[in-house]
Amino acid sequence: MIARLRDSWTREGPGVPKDMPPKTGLALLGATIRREAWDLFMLNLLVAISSLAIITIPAAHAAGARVAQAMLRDQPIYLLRDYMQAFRALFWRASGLGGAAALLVGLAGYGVYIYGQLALHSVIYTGPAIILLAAALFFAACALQAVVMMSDAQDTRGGLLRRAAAITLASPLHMPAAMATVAALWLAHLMFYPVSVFLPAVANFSLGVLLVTFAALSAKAHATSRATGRPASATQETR
Amino acid sequence: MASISLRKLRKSYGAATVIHDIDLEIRDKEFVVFVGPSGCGKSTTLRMIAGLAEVSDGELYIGEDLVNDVPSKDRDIAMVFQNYALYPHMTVYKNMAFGLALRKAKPDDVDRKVRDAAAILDIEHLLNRKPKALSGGQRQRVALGRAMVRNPEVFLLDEPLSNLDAKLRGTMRAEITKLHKRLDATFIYVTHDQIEAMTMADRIVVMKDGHILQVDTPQRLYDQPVNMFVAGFIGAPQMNMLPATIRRRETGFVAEFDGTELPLPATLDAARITPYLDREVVLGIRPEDFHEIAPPAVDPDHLAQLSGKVELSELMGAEMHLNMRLGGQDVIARVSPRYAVADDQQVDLVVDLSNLHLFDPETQESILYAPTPSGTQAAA
Ligand SMILES: Nc1ncnc2c1ncn2[C@@H]1O[C@H](COP(=O)(O)OP(=O)(O)OP(=O)(O)O)[C@@H](O)[C@H]1O
Ligand SMILES: [Mg+2]
Repeated sequence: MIARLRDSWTREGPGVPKDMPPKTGLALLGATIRREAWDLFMLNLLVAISSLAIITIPAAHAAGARVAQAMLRDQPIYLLRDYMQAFRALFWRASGLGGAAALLVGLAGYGVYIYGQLALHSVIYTGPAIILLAAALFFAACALQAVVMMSDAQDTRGGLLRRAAAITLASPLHMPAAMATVAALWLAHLMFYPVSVFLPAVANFSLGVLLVTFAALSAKAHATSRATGRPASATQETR
Repeated sequence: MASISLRKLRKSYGAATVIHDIDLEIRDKEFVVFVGPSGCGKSTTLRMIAGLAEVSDGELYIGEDLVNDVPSKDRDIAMVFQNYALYPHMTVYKNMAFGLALRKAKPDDVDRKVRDAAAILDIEHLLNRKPKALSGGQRQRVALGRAMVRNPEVFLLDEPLSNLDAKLRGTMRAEITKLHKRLDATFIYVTHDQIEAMTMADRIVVMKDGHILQVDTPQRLYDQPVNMFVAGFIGAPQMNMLPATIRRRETGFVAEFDGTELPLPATLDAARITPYLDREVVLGIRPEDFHEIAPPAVDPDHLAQLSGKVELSELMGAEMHLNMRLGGQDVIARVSPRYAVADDQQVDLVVDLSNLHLFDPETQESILYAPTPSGTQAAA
């Protein structure tokens, strides 16, 4: 019985072809989720627990993004060690960026609320409401793009915010798509509430981080290849 | 200093003894290869040296120290197991780094060593995979890499290349030889593959049924096997073993085989042959000592002619193997591939007797060559 278990655990696998071209796009995302399922589960716990203090939310997600990048790039990971290291290294910058972004998105959101109320009385206010809504979305996408790039150990260039804004403008669909998917994940949790309690406990945090990271890397690659006219890969640093 | 001495080393499982009081002296930085049929005790011997199997009796020294009771982790030995023994829950990278991390190496050092080894072994693309996803050959290279990064004084390798394809095996063979040169460590290597044994070893240890039969340099093992088992085990195709009778003639000794008198070279030790006068012996002739025409470089006194029927000719590219029926015996001759010969054809072959072997049919020991006491004779 024990031997049976051990054998099934240590049995030879199919092998990894060396010359297979690396997966790209959604196939890369799928392969990563399948391969790293267990580590994603553990990462989910790490992000969830280290977000409990609320003010640690940005740093927790930035650290998660660094791990997610290693996963997407198929690099060796020591989950706990790498996560803690990233958490400490990124804490202040991530918190600053997160705080500022929360403020901006919050202000814009508040504006949307105010003008939305006014728009109910007079259509003239619909314009500012829509503009502020777009601004809130842009700030959020920009902030997420910047957090991922900040947590990228391979990306050490300055001008982070400016570059993040440029990438968000040049590839305007990547990050919003990820944000919508993450929102859907949480919505599913809320809608099916008692049955779906397992969702955040098992996957929502880490999957969200992975999706946003994937979107940020793809957006960056997309923007880079538009700017240089050469193809760029989401999992390789382009200079 | 990592010389290794086995003195009357024995291993028993209950009543069954699988290693019988073996003696062996392995010098510091030597590359020793163990060969022998399956189940002869190669892995068991290795495991005793590694400290993974208890020594039942006798003494085991590493350097100056008696290590019978020294635990494995204190022996400065890295072992690559026949069945890899990777940690299934760790990635390849961690499998390789784990031993170093346990020894409190600096993380940067660990990282560099792991990546260097991975590059040599061509497994860089596997670093983040769990062993479960890997094929046998890939696992084998990971196991090798794990030993490489440790940089120990003694390497024990139990058939480390057995799961690789021919091409990779060739490359890895060269890599291991290079590794030995670079690391200045003592290597003990188990293999079934004769080419590996012949090309890599400083000395080869031939084992059978828990006994050491012969310890010698590859060339001496090939030229002077001390018994019929070693003679048959080393060399492919196998040495031909023919029944013959020793006679004395005016010109010297001859071996009478199937009515033909084959002259024994005068250089052979007469004192060793005399006791076998007019007795039956086993005549050993390697396949490459048969020729389609008389080789010019050989003393004509050492040549004789034998006639036989070709039953099957196998063309190997660089050579041809003739399976012949010769004087009621099956004989394999290795000749030039350009030798035009058809199956079922009767042919005359010239046999070069300068390298012949004679064995006692009862004891199976060589009549010409006495065993050298294990470990006392110099490596090439
Ligand atoms: N735990 C054990 N209990 C009893 N007998 C054992 C045990 N381990 C090994 N043996 C026996 O000891 C003998 C030597 O085994 P060993 O594994 O050393 O052979 P080997 O030379 O390495 O063979 P192979 O080439 O097949 O790997 C075998 O006859 C084997 O059956
Ligand atoms: Mg074995």
